[in-house]
Amino acid sequence: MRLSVANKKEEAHEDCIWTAGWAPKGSGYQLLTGSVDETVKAWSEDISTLGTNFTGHTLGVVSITLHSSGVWAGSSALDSFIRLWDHNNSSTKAIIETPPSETWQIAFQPNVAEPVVAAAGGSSNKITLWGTEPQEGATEEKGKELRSYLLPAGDDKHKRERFVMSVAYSPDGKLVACGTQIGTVAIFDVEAGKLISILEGHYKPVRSLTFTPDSTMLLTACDDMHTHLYDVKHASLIEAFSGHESWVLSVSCHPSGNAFATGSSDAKVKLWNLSTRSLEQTANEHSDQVWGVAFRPDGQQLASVSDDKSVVLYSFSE
Amino acid sequence: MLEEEHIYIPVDQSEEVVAVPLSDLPDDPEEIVDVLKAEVVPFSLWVDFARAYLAQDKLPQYQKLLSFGTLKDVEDFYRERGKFESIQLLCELAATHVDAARAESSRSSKTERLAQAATLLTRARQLDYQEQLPSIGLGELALARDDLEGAKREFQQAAKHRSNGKENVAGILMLAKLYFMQGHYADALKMYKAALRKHPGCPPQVRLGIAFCHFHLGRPKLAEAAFNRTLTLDPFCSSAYLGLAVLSLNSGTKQGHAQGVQLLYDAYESDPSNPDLLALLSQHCLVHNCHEEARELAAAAVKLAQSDKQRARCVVLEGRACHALHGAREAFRCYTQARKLDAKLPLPLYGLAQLNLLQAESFKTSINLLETALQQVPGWQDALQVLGQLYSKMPDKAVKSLAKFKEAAARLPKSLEVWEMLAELLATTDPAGSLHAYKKALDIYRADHPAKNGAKQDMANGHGPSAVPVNPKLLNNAAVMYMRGGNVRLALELMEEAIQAAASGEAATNVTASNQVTMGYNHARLQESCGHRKEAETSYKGILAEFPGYIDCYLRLACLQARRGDLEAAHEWATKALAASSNNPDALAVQASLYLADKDKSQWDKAKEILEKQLLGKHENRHDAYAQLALGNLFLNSISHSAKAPGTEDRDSKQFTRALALFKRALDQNPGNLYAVNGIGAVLAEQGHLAAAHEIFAQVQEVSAASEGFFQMPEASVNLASAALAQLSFNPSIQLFQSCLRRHFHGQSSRVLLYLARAQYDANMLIEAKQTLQRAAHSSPWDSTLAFNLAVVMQEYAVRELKKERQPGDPNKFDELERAGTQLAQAWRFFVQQKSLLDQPGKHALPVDKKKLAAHLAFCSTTFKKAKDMIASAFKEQVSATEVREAAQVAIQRAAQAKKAEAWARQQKAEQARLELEAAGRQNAARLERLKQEWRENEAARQAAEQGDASKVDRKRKKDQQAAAEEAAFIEPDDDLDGQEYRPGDESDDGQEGAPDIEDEPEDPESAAARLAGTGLMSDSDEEEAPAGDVDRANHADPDEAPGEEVPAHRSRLKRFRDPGQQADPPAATPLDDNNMDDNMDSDGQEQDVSQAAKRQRAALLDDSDDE
Repeated sequence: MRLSVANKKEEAHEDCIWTAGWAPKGSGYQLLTGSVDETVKAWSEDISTLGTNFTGHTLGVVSITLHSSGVWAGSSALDSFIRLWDHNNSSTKAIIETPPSETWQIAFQPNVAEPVVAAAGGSSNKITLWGTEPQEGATEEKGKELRSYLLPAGDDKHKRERFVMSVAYSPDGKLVACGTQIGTVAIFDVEAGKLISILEGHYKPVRSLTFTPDSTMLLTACDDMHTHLYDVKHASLIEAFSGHESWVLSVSCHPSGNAFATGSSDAKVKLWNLSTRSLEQTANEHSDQVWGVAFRPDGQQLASVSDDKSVVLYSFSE
Repeated sequence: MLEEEHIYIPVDQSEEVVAVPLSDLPDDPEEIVDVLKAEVVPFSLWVDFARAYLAQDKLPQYQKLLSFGTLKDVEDFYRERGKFESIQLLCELAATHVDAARAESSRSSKTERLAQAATLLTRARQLDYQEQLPSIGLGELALARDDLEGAKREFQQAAKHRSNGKENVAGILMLAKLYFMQGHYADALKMYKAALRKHPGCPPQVRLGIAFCHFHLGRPKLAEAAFNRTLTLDPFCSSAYLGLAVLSLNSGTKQGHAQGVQLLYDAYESDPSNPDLLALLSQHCLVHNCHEEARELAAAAVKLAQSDKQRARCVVLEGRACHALHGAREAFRCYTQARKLDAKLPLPLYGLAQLNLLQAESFKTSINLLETALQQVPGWQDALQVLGQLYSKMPDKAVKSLAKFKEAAARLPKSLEVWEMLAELLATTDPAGSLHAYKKALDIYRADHPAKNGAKQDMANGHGPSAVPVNPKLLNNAAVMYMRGGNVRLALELMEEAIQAAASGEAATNVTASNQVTMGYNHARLQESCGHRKEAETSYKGILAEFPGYIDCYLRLACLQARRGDLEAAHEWATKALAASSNNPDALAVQASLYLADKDKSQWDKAKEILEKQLLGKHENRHDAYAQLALGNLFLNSISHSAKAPGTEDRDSKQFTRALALFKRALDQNPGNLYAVNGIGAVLAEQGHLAAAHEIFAQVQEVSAASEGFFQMPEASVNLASAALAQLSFNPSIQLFQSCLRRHFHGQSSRVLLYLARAQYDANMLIEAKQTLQRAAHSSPWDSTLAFNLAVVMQEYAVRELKKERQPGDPNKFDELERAGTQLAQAWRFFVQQKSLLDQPGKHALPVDKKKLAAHLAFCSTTFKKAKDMIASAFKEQVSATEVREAAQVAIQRAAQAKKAEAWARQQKAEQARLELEAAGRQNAARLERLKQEWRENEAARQAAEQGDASKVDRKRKKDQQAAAEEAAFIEPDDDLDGQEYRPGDESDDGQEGAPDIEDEPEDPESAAARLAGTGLMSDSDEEEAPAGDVDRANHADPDEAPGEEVPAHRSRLKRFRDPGQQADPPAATPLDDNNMDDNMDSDGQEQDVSQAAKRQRAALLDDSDDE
């Protein structure tokens, strides 16, 4: 399998780019990128042309999530505001305000019609589920807390520093996982709301995680420079992938389940083979930390975004 | 005439002769002279007697007789009959002077002798310009004066002249000898051949000359023929035997060798008195370990040697033989004597150097001797190799002399050994130079062992043995040096090649089992550095399974775990290391570093105890550089900036002193320890000596930058930037922080980002400071210091926007104020969040206290209320301004149109008037012309003048009117525009009347200060801000949250100077040793956190002790 550079956009944003996600558009896709310059930009499928920017955040955009309906996009910023908007026309649909430091990464719940967004709860030690409701005197809806999944209290030493950073749903919608600053990875049953397992092995911030397409395994990206592959059912570590020379910041699994990509502070993007559990390729297109990697839902392309303000598009071949 | 036993003197005027027996020559030659004079003998008898004395080695008598013979009266007496004899006597006397001059050591007497010889020879020449002898004598004289060209001229003359009227080849032979001496063997050969042609019966020595010429010209066959011919003429010519022997020995075949040896023995049989032969035989014996025979032959050669040079060479041989026979004293005597005989001969120096070493005298003497020898023979490999090993034992001396060694190496671009040795020598003092030398050595190695195709190489080896054997040691050591220089990937490749080479069997005899393990460890270490941590872990564990005493493996495993953040597991490995080797200093140091890496600062006490008691407290570890640096940093770090209690200054100054003492000790032990220098800089900075500290940090950074990646000192860069900031040079500081982030921290250190933000804040770059803090907060969202400072920057930005003085009618006013309002609201939200965190039990890790936070909150909310009003009014203003502007625009347009119309009308009018006037003027002119005509006709001059004036006046008026019309067209509309433009401006001023109320407090420094003082905020932060002279800033806190105390402004910024461990990274002292494969495997210089830095150097130190 191989990644080959299809296009590269230098100076795609005015400042560091922190997150990226693919949204369906017409019969194809568009790429959304979020930056410390407070905007989310929408790019054509080949990232050559720019659509309508989404503005409204007043601090850097930390995370982007796309709803399966094909209409909703969600973004969270450093100030813990979550904004939901229609990515077809960039019109704001809802503004969910949470206390600063209590929202970090966000993820739409899959397989539900209405927009429900799970937020990694930062210093609140939980995952919070947000819905929306109308508010008087405003066209945008506001947030409504639906429920939350609380992490179990650890020992005193770790309690105050356990910042919940990353969140991901399993594609079947049954599970939701989160990663924390001290390496805790927890999986909850979405319906029952109860903790299923705590995955051991990381001791440093887990900044990104993703389930495999069959929902049986979980990939975690950690500051310890490793990507772990866990068996969800047995809560066991299957493999630890080493190779990056600095923090692993982002992980994205290919829809086939045969490959995944990682981005790191060492400015490299790596492609890994999940079947052979080995490194396939290292891409050196960026000159600074790679905060986001995202496979297009059809698996044909991969996008990576970086502190170097550039966006790189790769074609993927099996 | 010279008889065997007697010389017969014919008695004058008779037939009788007097027989003088040669065995009974009188001691005083004057007696002979009297007889010779009395009997008026033929002049040739004088020559005979002189030579008789010479034959009996009675030099003074010989000389005396010659002197009498050359006296003027004698010469005159024989003028007619004995001219040739006179010349002979003169030339022979001159020759004695030349010989004496050669032996003379004092320059002046030498010159005097040569001058006497010159006088005599000139006299001889004047007697007969066609005589050969004086030319030969003058040639010798020129040789004695080292004037080769002059000698050549004379000998060429001599070759043309005759001797006593007969042809003589002496001149040609002299010329041949000269050419031979100069190394012009082809010319010499030509001369010898010419001599042979002229005089086919010339002595066999001529053929010997021909043989040696051929020998030097590389024609062994011809040389052999000539030697053989010589031997047929003179069967006892040992030189010819010698030549043949050398030819056989050089043939390179076994048979030839045996033949050569046989010839040597034959030669020895025929003539046991040829020193060259004896020397060669002695050398032959030396090579074949027959030392006793060698010694005897050399001793015999010494006795027979004809010149000091030759004698020196023979004495050295004798010395070498004695040396080999363990007769050190005798050998020493020989070498010393040889050195006296010929100071330029390098072998005695080499021998003396070796003896010095044997007798365990100082290395220095040996080094000096070898260096002198190398001056004589630059690039002498044997001497270089001994010298290299000595240098590695005497690093101080080596530093001074390495330049010479490098020069010598440069002369040997093909010598793998010398370059490898140079690389090893430079490893400690000049790692970059060492790496260059390794590259060179590898280049040479690569000629026989191409890189990266081990399999193919093996096949290539099948064709024949390569000249350079596989060299796992070189590959290993080069890999280590590449790693130290940061090129881990290449290092890993080399390491893999080294292991392959060691396993190839070719070099297996050189690779001991322990070396194999070391290479395994090095390989694992490189895997770790290249990011293959899993493989490295497996390798370390594998080594431990076989060699449970390999402490480094435990420690690397501890470091791997610590790096993953699992301190518990790391401690377990460190404990295992200590169990395997109790009190192992490296294991202790790793343990200390693990405690220092703990976020729980109470663990630092444990680290301190280990460092103080178990490391520095023990005699054998008291020089442990890591312990010194780590403890120094710990002391520096324990100076609490927040301690307000009186009396802490004493304690602080004690801590400073202790830290400084430790850094100084480390520096004394290793003057190249940059980390110690950096530590001293930090102490100075903490004590307020900013300029000095700045200077130190700048130098450290310079050295680090010049080291080509060998000394990565990110902390020095951070400190340099901080010192610049403390000295208020904002821009340099910002640039330093930025480049430092880029180069050393993957742009991800929230700590350095915070410093950068502070610098930007101080430089009034609020927007940049905000972006920087956002990046930091994005990396570490849990860090409330970053969040708090972000809020402070946003608050400050908002306040500045709110009270910014604006031009009336500033069109950006509303947008800017609205943005300010948003920022203020954000700041408020962040402060609220901080407060709520403060209120929760168990969350104490906040950078601010409640009072301060409350002040910020209160300030934000009041300001926000006022800002809201401001924004509202600005909005209204903007709306009305827009309306007014639009109305004004319409009015302007209308007015302008009206004016235009009016102006146009006026212009039209004026134009018409002008046309009328012109018409009138034309009429006048016509009339004038007519009148002139009339005048001319009527001759009435006065009338004509009056008419002319009138026409002028008319024209002037017309001009004035035109100008007035133009002015009316441009100036008036301008006036209108101005007037209308001012009005909305006035209104906006009115509209802003509410604003001063809002801004009143923040704008008035005194009242603001007074209010804040009430809340306690002022006391917290103003002393930091005061030096900057910007009182306003005091109102709004500062991003670097140093709790207030009575210290100068830089104090708060200096937090960053103190990071234990991070600065503590002494360069690896890595002595290289021939037998030690595990030269130095220090870890990478890229790790970030405290434990890593500590570990790193631990690993470096480990490797030193790896010699087992």
